[in-house]
Amino acid sequence: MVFSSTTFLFGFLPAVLLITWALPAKARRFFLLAASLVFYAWGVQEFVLVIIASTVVDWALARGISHYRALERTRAARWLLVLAVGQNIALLATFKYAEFGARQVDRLAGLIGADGVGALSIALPIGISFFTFEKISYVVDVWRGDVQARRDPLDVLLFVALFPRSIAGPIVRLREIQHDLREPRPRPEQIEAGAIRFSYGLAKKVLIADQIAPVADAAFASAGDGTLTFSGAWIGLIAYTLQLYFDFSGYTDMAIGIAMMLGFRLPENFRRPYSSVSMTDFWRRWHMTLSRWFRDYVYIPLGGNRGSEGRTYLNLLIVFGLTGLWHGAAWVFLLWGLYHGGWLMLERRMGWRAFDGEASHPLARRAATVLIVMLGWVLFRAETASEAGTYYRALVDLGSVTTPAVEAALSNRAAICLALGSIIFFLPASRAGGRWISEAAGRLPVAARVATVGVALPLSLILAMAGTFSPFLYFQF
Amino acid sequence: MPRPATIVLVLLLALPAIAWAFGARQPLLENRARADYPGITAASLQDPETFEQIDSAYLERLSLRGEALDLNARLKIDLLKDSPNPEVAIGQDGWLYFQPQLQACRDKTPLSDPADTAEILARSLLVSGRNALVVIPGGKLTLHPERAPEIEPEVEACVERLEREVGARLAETPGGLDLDAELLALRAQGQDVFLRGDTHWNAAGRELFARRVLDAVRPGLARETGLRQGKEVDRPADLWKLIGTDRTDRDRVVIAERTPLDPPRNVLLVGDSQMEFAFTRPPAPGVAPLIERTLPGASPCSPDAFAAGHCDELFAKAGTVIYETVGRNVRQLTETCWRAVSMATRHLRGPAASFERVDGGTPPSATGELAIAPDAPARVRVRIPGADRADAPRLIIMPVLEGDVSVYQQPEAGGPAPCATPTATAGAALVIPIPAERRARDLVFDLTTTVGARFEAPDVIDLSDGALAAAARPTPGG
Repeated sequence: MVFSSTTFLFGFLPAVLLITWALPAKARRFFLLAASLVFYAWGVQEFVLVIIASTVVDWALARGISHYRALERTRAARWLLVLAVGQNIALLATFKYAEFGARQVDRLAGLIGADGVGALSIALPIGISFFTFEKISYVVDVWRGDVQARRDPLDVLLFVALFPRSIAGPIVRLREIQHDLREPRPRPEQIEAGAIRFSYGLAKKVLIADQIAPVADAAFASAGDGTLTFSGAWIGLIAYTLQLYFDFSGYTDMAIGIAMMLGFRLPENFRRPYSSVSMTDFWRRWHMTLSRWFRDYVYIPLGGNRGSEGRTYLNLLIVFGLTGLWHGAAWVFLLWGLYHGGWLMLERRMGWRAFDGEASHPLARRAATVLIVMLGWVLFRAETASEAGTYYRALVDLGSVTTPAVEAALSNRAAICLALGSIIFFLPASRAGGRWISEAAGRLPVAARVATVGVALPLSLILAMAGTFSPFLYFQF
Repeated sequence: MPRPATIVLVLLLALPAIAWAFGARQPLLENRARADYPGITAASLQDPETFEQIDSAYLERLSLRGEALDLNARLKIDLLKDSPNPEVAIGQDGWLYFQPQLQACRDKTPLSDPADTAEILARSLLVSGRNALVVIPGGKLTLHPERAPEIEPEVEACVERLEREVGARLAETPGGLDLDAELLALRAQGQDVFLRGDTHWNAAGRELFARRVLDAVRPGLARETGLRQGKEVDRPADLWKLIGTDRTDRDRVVIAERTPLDPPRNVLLVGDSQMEFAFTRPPAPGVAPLIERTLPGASPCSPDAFAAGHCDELFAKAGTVIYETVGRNVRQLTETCWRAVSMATRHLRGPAASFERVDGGTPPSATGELAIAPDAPARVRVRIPGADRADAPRLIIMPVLEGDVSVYQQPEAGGPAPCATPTATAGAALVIPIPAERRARDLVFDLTTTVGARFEAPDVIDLSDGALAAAARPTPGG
């Protein structure tokens, strides 16, 4: 079920909200767990049983880790940690990477004339990358003593399945919502802020991302069939840059808003990423919960920047290679990750790292950073490296004329939404729109709230009801 | 105490349910039956389609959806000047156009020539002794281009060229009709022939089409029945429906004043929605469909139903066959016309030809029979008596004596022949047309069988004007 589908908007969501509010606080977690499992089963059917089983294993292993840590039997606890992390990685490897791995083995076998393993076809359960990372964070945090192992397996199940963020993040740690897990108690002002935040996210997704998506699709399809030209390539790239941001951050806003209305506070995931003044700054603003996860569970355990310069660069490359592969089992994602890792290395080497408020020539830096990010999105969106190559060639081929498919997709509404969305490039880096619109005081935020709930929300609902919805881009990650 | 944004959000999300509780129901908005809710079983819950079906069924029953579609259409058309549906292009003065009309040039498979297809179909129907009319009318974008937006100029030019080629060929072909030429003549007089918000002809276009059909069934029948345009009506427009709003087009009904004294019998009308709007659908509430007054007893059949074999019995009995399909489906016709050609001609006999194995396999017997072993395809061509290339199309008839057989064309030059029978069993025959100006020896094909097959020596049927004249039987009353 996607947040912009009519089943969700006009059936599931109002029913869950009203029932949750009507139930006594103690009963809410049972209802929310059931609702979350129904929500998830909508997209993955019987795989929900795998999630439940694997979460129960996590719960039991975390209990064991906690038990042995208390007895100071570190070795036994470590073995349980390895088991817990291993089962999660095995889950991810099986469902997300086995098919890709088999293809590479076949390719290698073909090179030496041997028999391959044959094609594998395994359906990718949506959101698997998000919840396996959350499950890993739980057992590691228990090992580190950052969070207590939960006595009640329902707490862990609800943490993993909680529907607002189960399929596209943000990536939450149990300790961030542990106080709400047993008795979610949404307060009226929290519900109000959640309603505004949800409306804002829905508008970003339906009124902007979905409207400009056909332009980006047309450009990349044209790269695939060799008809892409200079202007089409740049229009398509700007469209994709905006679509990705408004789609993903809109989804996050909706997730945070729904969670608030249910009594949970989820972490922020975006903070004006296209206003970054360096690539290092970008990764502190884009998909912040993923960056944080890789920092805390991969980069720092690898040694972070405490070793030699060479070791730090290697750690960066490992982290960004994994970040790329986390987004998808394909070489283009690995290349995209390494592209970003390479830029971070370069910034560190050249002393170009900077953050908002401390950078010289901030406008030039912002322009350069957004250009680097945009060029990276070509790898991210292209189906193959060869398609990405075609796209890059079109970006510099000044001699060519317009791209018919992009022109056809650039309707008046797409052009207006592109222009509206482009404002994001020029906004100050200091404030995140979602929190500002739902929580800030003052006339301007109030006017923005009225416009969001009074105009953008009804319009979004009309479009969602009238149109065929498009799936969120981040579902396969 | 709930705050304002919370109240607005919950009210808006619950509005369809509230409206439903007060009796609001979604009317049938799509031009098809609603999706049903699936049965819920342990097995069905493991099937992703079950959930998709619930989503569709829920959406199609959601109260206020019609109002949302209408608002969406108004916002996009009136405010943004955009079409809410990419299939519908918005032209000037409220004229709408259906973009899939261009599909004949977007999807160029199969490679058979559409003009050859139209000609072979018409000639095959005539050579069987039937009276026939084949019409492949063009679409609104080509007949009313002056109010259309520019969509894809190259593709539009290609479609126009294709429709003109097919029309010109039909104009030269006995049993063919270039209706577009006559519709364009009406256009030249300042007469619109299509409805503004619809994919179909207006009364002028329908009257012209009906007149040509009736006169093809029996010359003078249109006048005999008093075919004319009647009162004005408001007709729901299909393209407006496609973009989610209900608007109507002002139109007139086309009626017949009287039923002929001696109504034509055994008439089969194969046609798509243009045929339906002209003949079989009541032109207005309480007004009889034209077919009831002009061709009582005639049988309508859609091209899809015909291609699926649902009208075989009607075809076998038919003395007159009218075959109409719109230009955008002309490439589809190249794949489906084999049924009409095969049923019309498979029992015909002509000068004997001979099989030639191209793959070096067992040659035909002394009597010309060809045997094929199971699972061992035979690549063959047919050597025909006389000239290898002819001005008019011909048909190769290959009676199957035993087994079952499938044909896969492997032409050595040019595209595959249109309307070729794909499979046949014992007692039937494979019919492979040779388009005009094509060399028979270029038409090479693979014959495959799972149980073994044996063919009688093939025959060749001439489809020239002379042969058709010889085959013609007098039109009743003509």
